[in-house]
Amino acid sequence: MNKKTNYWGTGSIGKSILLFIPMLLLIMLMMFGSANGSDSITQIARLLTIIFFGAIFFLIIYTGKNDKWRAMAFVVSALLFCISFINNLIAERGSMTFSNAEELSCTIPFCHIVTPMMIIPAAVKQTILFPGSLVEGFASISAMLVIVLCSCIVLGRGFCSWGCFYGGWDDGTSRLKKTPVIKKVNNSYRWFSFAMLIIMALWSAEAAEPTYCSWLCPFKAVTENERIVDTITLIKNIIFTLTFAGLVIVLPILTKKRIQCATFCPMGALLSLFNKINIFEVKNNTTVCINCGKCDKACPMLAIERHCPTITCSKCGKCVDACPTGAMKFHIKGTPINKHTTIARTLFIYPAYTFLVTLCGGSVVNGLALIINFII
Amino acid sequence: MIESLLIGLSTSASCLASCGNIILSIIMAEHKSISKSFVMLGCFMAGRLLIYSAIATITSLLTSIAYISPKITAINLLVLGILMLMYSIGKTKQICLNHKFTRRIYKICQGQINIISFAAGFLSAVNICPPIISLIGNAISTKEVFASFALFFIGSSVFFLPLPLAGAIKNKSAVTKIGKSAAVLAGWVFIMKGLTIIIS
Repeated sequence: MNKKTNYWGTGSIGKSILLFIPMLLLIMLMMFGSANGSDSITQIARLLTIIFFGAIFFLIIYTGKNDKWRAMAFVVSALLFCISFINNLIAERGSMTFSNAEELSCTIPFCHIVTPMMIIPAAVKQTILFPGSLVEGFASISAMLVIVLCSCIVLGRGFCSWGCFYGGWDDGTSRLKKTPVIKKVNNSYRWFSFAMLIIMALWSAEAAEPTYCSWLCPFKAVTENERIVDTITLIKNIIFTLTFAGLVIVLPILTKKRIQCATFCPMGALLSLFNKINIFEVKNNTTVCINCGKCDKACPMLAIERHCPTITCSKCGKCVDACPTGAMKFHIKGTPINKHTTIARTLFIYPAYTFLVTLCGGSVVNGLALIINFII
Repeated sequence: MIESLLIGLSTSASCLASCGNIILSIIMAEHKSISKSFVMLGCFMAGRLLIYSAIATITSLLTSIAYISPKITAINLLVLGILMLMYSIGKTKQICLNHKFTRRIYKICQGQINIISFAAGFLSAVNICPPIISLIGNAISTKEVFASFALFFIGSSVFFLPLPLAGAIKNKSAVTKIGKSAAVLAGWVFIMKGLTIIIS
């Protein structure tokens, strides 16, 4: 990795600190802005969270390595999010499952993966399919939709590697083995997520329920799921467990690819379409590229074709780190490919990291507080 | 009579949601010119029209809403699901060329896409959905059964008309792969629907 010092900080301690301070203040503002939990353990957890996110951001800026540090924050956030979420559910309902009564009372926290399934019913029938609260309570529909819409515009599919609190699961499992058991994964499988988007959006409009969440979502296995009361709910829960085990655990370990995110998630497909209007992209400078193919191998999202990132690129930066010649760069559309690349990277990482801390910061604090409580 | 047209127009989006995935996946998987895609849509619609004509005939003879057993609906959904799965298998050369049975399906799929579209339209229309039930009620009250069904068919077809434009999307390789995958998923969805009816 080229570590030469430049105007935007990479490689220089002083300039990296200058870039780090605004983010640190932002993280502190977000962590201490919440009035919830003023006991000493929560305060310690907050402090640890600030140190953790602050240190990761500094390392991203200082070392110039994108994926290694991003993944660390991303994976920890995903794990602690699930711990915190399950704990909240058990505290409120007494179990991870929800009943028909809870569904009818519209108290289910909104998840961003539902978004593609809400579009057709909202446009055609003026109906919101999700059984959650519109404005009140934790993860209300309107609050989450605003965050998702902003991330679509600011990050495009970058949300899948920087904001999604589920993505860290298969990002983590895909790193467990040093070398893949299945060495060649056909890049064409990424189009399956678009088929999933079409079929799930149409099926949801017909069935008047978010069908992906009701029938297929792997993350139901580690968040909340329908209470088993009959054969149908039993089948649904079996499907959740199998898709989680297969797509989030086994296949990512065997292939070293984020199989669930790359090939299955309809939200990922929708976000890919936003990559077209997003100003940030990862681009290959073909005049410098030596066609070594390291970027193709490194990409966990099956998004690189003939050494060029495609529409499904999640801007994780793994190919940028893997490129031996520095041909692969973060880039702002409409600017020259070989100029201002560090500025483009910094301008992308700032909002991307802000999304990560915004979406996962609270859960990380809660998760850490739980772990500290458990240890003490 | 105009009510039948309005029922069709107002439920067109629902029809697209329930049956559109079938013909859209076929159009995308084939990725032919817009005119050929319109022919595929026409065959799909002809299948639907045939069933609507049959229901109109039964309605005019019985002058009541015919009861259709959920088991028949379930079997129909399973057949439709299997048809979509067979079609998607038949569109995948890599699978087909390795086995005698799938090679035969592949050959059928290669030449008979209009017949497959027609069969898919036919099977998808067999499911008596709420809009059809309200239409039958309206048709009986107006005593203009065939005209009511014809107007409903026209109204409910409106949202299907843009689907052949999928044939105009440039990235053929991606579109055909999405189409084939969508056919697999559509097949899975119909099979799950059928099984759900049987189980419950």
